[in-house]
Amino acid sequence: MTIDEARTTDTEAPGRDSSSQQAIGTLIALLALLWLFWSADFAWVIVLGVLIKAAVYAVSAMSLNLEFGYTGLLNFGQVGFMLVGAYTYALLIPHELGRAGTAGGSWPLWAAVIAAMVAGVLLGLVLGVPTVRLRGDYLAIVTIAIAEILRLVVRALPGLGQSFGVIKYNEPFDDLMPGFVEDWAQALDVPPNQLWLFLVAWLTVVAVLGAMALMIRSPWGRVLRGVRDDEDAVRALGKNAFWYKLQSLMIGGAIAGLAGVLFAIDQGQISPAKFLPLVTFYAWTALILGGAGSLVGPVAGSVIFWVILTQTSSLAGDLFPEWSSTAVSATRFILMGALIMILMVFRPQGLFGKREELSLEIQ
Amino acid sequence: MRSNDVRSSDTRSNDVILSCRGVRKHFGGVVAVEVAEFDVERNTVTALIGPNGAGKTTLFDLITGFVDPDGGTIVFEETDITDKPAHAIARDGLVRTFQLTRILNKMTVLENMMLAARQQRGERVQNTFFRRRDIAHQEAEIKVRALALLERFSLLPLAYEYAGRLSGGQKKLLELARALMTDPTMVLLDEPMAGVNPALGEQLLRYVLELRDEGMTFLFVEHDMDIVMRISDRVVVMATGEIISDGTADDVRSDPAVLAAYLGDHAQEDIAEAEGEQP
Ligand SMILES: Nc1ncnc2c1ncn2[C@@H]1O[C@H](COP(=O)(O)OP(=O)(O)OP(=O)(O)O)[C@@H](O)[C@H]1O
Ligand SMILES: [Mg+2]
Repeated sequence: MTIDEARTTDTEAPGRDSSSQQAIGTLIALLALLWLFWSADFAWVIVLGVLIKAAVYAVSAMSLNLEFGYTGLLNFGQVGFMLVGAYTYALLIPHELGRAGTAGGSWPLWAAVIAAMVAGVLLGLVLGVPTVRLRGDYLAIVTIAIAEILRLVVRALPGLGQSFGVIKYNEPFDDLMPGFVEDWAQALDVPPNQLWLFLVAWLTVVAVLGAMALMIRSPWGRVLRGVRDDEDAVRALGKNAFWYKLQSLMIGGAIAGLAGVLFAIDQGQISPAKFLPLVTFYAWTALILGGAGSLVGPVAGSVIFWVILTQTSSLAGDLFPEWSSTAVSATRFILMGALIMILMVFRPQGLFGKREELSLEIQ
Repeated sequence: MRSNDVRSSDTRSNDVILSCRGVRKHFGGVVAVEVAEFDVERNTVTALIGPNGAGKTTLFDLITGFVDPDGGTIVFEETDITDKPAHAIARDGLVRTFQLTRILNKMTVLENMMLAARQQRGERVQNTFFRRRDIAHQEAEIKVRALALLERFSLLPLAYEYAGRLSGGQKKLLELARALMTDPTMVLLDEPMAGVNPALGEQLLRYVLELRDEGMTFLFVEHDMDIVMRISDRVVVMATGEIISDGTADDVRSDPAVLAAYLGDHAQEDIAEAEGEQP
């Protein structure tokens, strides 16, 4: 290869998701979507409901992807970031709070959304400064602990609604709905506000995906990937690895705060019981399914995750009519676990991940 | 033995680029580094040699901020860098390579190189949204520079390979090329030629001398005495954490303390015996 040939080659050539992997991943994601439409009791309400959840978790998984997939930071307290985002949003806009249903909040919606993202940034900062210097697994433990502490604090403080939480905060969001959504909703036979949320949630996914693409495919993203590989090497080249890790946590926190806002709108009411560690593990599952360190992976992973979780909920009931409903709905988690195990054996990099990168890990 | 080096004491006042005073590091009971006085002159190639475990790598770690010293001061270009973090020292122009190569395995060879360029506008996250044209422009410049360096290091055909796929010697080469990509004033090389094929090594050594003539300063650790004798302006010998000899290659070669350090106490006895036997 001469310099001139090399110069005209795309800088990232093998760094991009290879096309065959992308094709397989896309195919599986499309099949999952098809499965969602191709069911006996098909209804748009169900489809939109699943896809809204998929969007919420796609945003959350993209945040984890920035932190883990591109920077190598293990955040096992994602639900804490979503909690902070959700509560900041719900408490700032008009709402009713706690057992008494005290009315409060006067911020405009856009300001509350920004505040929710800022809250995520601040949590990332507070959490990152003491831990990011330590070895990776310490951050994992601290994040688990912080998420639980946040949940328990919210449950204890009357000012945050305790276990009753916050309700009736969706009016400002529904008020923003443009007229055409109602016509469409009528055609699909779904509640207009559900369709409205569906559109907003997926627009958010696209916006976050675009922002991620700009950030990752830049020198900034290159430094992040360098930190993921070997932060001492990056430091020796004059880059402040600590600051980059902190930035990753803060921007990841902002995205998680946004996921929290969507989560709150979708749930219609929030309380500490909705922010169990399970939420974190759902987001991680979506990321691992789709492939950490790939841009579209977390989005596809989240769609596939929610389709499987929904479509298998009645599977065991059909096969074994005598089972109790609790047993039936639990089987889908067993299925999901088995699926992930199979995936880890045959495709450890996830659907869109790069296998080469895994094989290069052991040096 | 320091008195051996006439030049360093004569010209120290204005030519010293790096100076260490009383730099100390203990690991538990092990005295890893105990350097009373150590200067490197600008525009020279200085070799740092010594037996295994002498403290050479630890001294590098101390100078470049990867290990905090127990005491002493380190001054680089008239700035006290003793307490500076590693990345700030590198940004000042004092860049190092590692004895065990630290290559970014999951990135391409070219990305390894491009990452190292300094003052990249695209390293600020807000610019990745608002100054894309600027960034693309700068990226093109950096890429040309990186490819030219890769060509010199015979790594051009591998530019788009994952760096993790390189052989041991190629990784050494990439690390040296990458260090140069930062536009350093002074480079610390920890066994840069270990595992590199001699013909290419020869070529690179000549390149190092060229860079020295253009004004760069090198301090390198090397076990291959041939290389040391050939390219260094000055040789510094460490043993058990201390500097035991310092001078030209010939001075050091004939220093009995150096022989003793390399061959152990028996050698010293042997030498004493040999000297005693002389009429
Ligand atoms: N992190 C550490 N913890 C404990 N002891 C250490 C540490 N790093 C170095 N040492 C000890 O300090 C001494 C000097 O080690 P150093 O790596 O600096 O030697 P060196 O001169 O580079 O040797 P070599 O030529 O084999 O690379 C050794 O005795 C080593 O065991
Ligand atoms: Mg060493």
